[in-house]
Amino acid sequence: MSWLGRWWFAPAPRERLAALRIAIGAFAAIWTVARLGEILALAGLVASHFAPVGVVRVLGAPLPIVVVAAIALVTVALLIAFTAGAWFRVTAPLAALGLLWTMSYRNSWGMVFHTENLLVLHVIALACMPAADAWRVGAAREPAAPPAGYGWAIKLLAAMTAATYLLAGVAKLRLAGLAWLDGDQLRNQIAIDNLRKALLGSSTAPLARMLIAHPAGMVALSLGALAIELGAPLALLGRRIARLWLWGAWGFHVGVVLTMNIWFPYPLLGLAFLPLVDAERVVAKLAWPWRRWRARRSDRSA
Amino acid sequence: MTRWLAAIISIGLIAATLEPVVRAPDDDGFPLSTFPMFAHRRPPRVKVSYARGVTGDGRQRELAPRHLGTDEVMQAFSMLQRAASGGPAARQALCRAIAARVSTDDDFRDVTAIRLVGGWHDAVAFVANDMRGEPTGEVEYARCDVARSGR
Repeated sequence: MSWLGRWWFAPAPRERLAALRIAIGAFAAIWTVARLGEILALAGLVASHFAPVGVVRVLGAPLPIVVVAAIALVTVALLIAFTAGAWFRVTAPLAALGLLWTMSYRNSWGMVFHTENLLVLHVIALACMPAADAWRVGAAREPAAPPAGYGWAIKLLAAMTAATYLLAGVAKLRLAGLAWLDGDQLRNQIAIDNLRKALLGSSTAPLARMLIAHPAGMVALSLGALAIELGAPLALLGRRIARLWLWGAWGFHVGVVLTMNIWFPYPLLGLAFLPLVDAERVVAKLAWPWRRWRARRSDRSA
Repeated sequence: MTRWLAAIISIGLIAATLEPVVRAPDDDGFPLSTFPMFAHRRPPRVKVSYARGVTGDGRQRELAPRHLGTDEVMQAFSMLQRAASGGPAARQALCRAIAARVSTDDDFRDVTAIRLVGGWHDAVAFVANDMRGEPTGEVEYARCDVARSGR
């Protein structure tokens, strides 16, 4: 096998992939529930604002809201089963399709939000992987490890994360060229975003005014943002550089909140970057109260 | 799962994720996107479309994104932009839709009319002035009355 094959198929514990399934699946379910009100409110929008994207392009007109809501609710149920690893071979592809449809429909009203692209891509990828070979409900014992192992799947999720950031950096260079680095472009973007929010009755960002007064800071931030985006594929090369990159990318998103009041919950909660770390340790730490309760329960029944 | 199948899935999904790079950067989509956020060159002076409520005594009141039927400010902005470029019928349709929502909002019971407006602003000066500033030029796209049932 070539070095590329050895690297791509390097082993990883099944629990790590399972932890990614649980964390990403749980977020997807919660996110869809949180969007239900907004999805239902689409019924009140003028039909001329319907601008279908992605798979929703098959529609010539908006769906009845009852149908939209039903698909969203079924999607939530499927995502819960996906997270639990229950009947995964059936529920996972259906959950991925439901999430793809529901979020595509949400983004089909004149605005592509970019807050859930990577989430949807990750759920689709997880549905194609043996992500329920561990930490799942209902199974008596874990299956034998597949010949391909689990490491490739985790690398794939990480590569998809890196690809999305790389695309963002490429878009900046293609649309603005190197002028994007002069600091003025970023300053104007921050100013215009806050202007729109102020004029449309929404909250502006706490640091926008302070930052705009410092042109040198703008140049540094422009360089930093582009370095993080174009440098994203380097995060696949090793643990140390992955950690350095993910903290930089997370800091970038915190900066976007502080300067534009734009929230990308999936990376802000660290989930976009979870494939780059030992996800099973993170999930095990978060699940510690649940594990302690189970241990006490089994002690009592013993 | 065999290594061959895993390799096919890997190549397929990475290729799909990266596919937008061969499109025009503005040819956005979902979930496969060029991610063009914050990427465009923008001058500091811009024309922004927004909606205003007009009270009986002629004052203007700021409306919220929910009056456009969404909690997302960028979606509200996009709707206003589309209506502004969509012609008189589209503008009136949006104006009436906003008026209908405002008519049921008790916090805005003093609003008697809706204006859809495009105003020129120096965005950097606006932010530097603590998010305050009047437009240097304004054009009214549409105006409609807020109809209220007698209470």
